[in-house]
Amino acid sequence: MDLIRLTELSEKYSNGSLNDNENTELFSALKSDSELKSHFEENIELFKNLDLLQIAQLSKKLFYEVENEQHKFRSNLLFLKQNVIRYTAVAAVTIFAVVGTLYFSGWYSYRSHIQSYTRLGNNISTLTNNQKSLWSALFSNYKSEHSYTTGTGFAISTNGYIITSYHIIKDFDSIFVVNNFDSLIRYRADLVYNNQNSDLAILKINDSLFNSLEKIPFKLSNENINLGEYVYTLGYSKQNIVFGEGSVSSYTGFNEDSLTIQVSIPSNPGNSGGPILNSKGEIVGMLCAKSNEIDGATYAIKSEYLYNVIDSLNSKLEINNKVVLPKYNNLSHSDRPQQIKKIQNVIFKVEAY
Amino acid sequence: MKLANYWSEADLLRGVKDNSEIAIKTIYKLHFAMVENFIRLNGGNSQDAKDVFQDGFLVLYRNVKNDDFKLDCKIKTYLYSVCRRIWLTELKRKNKVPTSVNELDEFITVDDAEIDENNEQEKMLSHLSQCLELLGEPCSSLLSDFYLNNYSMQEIADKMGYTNADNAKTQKYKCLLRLKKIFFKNEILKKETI
Repeated sequence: MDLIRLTELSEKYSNGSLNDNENTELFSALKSDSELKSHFEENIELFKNLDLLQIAQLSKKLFYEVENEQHKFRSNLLFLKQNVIRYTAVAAVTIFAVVGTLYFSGWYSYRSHIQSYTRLGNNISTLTNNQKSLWSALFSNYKSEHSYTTGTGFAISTNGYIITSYHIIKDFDSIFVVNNFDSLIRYRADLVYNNQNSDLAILKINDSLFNSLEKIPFKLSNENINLGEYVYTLGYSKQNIVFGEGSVSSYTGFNEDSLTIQVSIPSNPGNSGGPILNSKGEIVGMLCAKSNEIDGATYAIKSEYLYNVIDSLNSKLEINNKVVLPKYNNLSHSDRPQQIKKIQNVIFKVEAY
Repeated sequence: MKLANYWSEADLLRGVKDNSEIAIKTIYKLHFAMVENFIRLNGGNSQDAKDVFQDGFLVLYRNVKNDDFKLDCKIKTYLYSVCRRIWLTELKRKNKVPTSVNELDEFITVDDAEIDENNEQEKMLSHLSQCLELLGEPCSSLLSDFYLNNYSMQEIADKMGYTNADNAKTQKYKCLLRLKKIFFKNEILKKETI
């Protein structure tokens, strides 16, 4: 029996649609061939997992639907109750608006003219600007072709594991990390984990010059994040390291994504992959993106998720190669400049070519 | 909403076993509120509750699929006990073991092995979905469409331009062989270009 036929029969076996002929065909083949048998067992295992994955995704979708239905149901009820109040309110507002407009229209006619003039002036200057930029784009020789990108990354264990953003290195094959302090040394790094959806990557320094890092001063925070909590980041948005600060502004990120939080740190290209630290110097997240619609909204992946990823990565690594997370935080009693002085040694600029 | 009350326990379990959407929704409608209350009372938020309930549901599902399994209490009690155990384990992992647990209902004891198995399974599933993603086209969307999104073989053949359903089927088995190869390799996966 070839492997394709075996796969077909194992699938039927898994969902219980095997008929008698096929049954005898399958089991007589299995009896005579032990290699086939191990293939068969793997098949069954795989189908079981596929089934579970399906139900996991299905149930998630269904739970979400129920929640939406219930929400709609509740808001409908509310709507009925408020109908009467709403009609009275609308009537009152209408009367007030009519009387108000009649009264004020004479007064405001003069001022509103000036405003529209200035607005027009703005319009003309925007038009000129647009024209200029179009002109320069058409006739300059500069081509915007990315030959390399840079970002930020931070070390989490002394044997050289670095967390960063996946989109920095996505389209490139050589990755280098540079430290602020000894900027002459440029280590080569390998990608050991990536996840496109959550935009997370873990690198490992793999360079003959590299021995080990000095002590990692911070640890990943395992406390709940509080709204309004003070946070700061360090990143390479230019050649040198740059400090940025703000606070936690929402428990969820873009489109209510619960793996991320929203922080009010101004961020620029190159900040991606930087650590988000709280006042105690613990890492609460990794900066990953910003919104181009909402002003000052930067998104960061929660440290809890980083924990989980490292956990599952560790289960696949050899024993002497595991990610050893720092257990203690040495920064809680230092003030901010002191913290930064210690931290900046383990923050790297990630360059991908 | 009221319809939920007309299910008998056995019907509900049978529905879950047959992947019936209505049964799964009903389970959520009937039992989520309690789990959510429990988790909110014990240091979690409603997002935690959703995650835990999802895990608890998968434990129930896995057991129901197993023919030897006999539920000797109400579904409500079972789900509550499993979710309770998952949440307490989670708190332990975060080093935040509560001094006293606020209980809402009676519960049965759940084996630690069950929770460990659940964690293992969760890792397996994320591994599997990563494998599916790395498989590349057309295998990746062929397999996801058939096994995860429940398309029929004919629909897939039409969508992906195979001449008939049988061709698509042969292709599907070839893809499965490749998936099996990388799924059981158990090593770190990365894109081949890097």
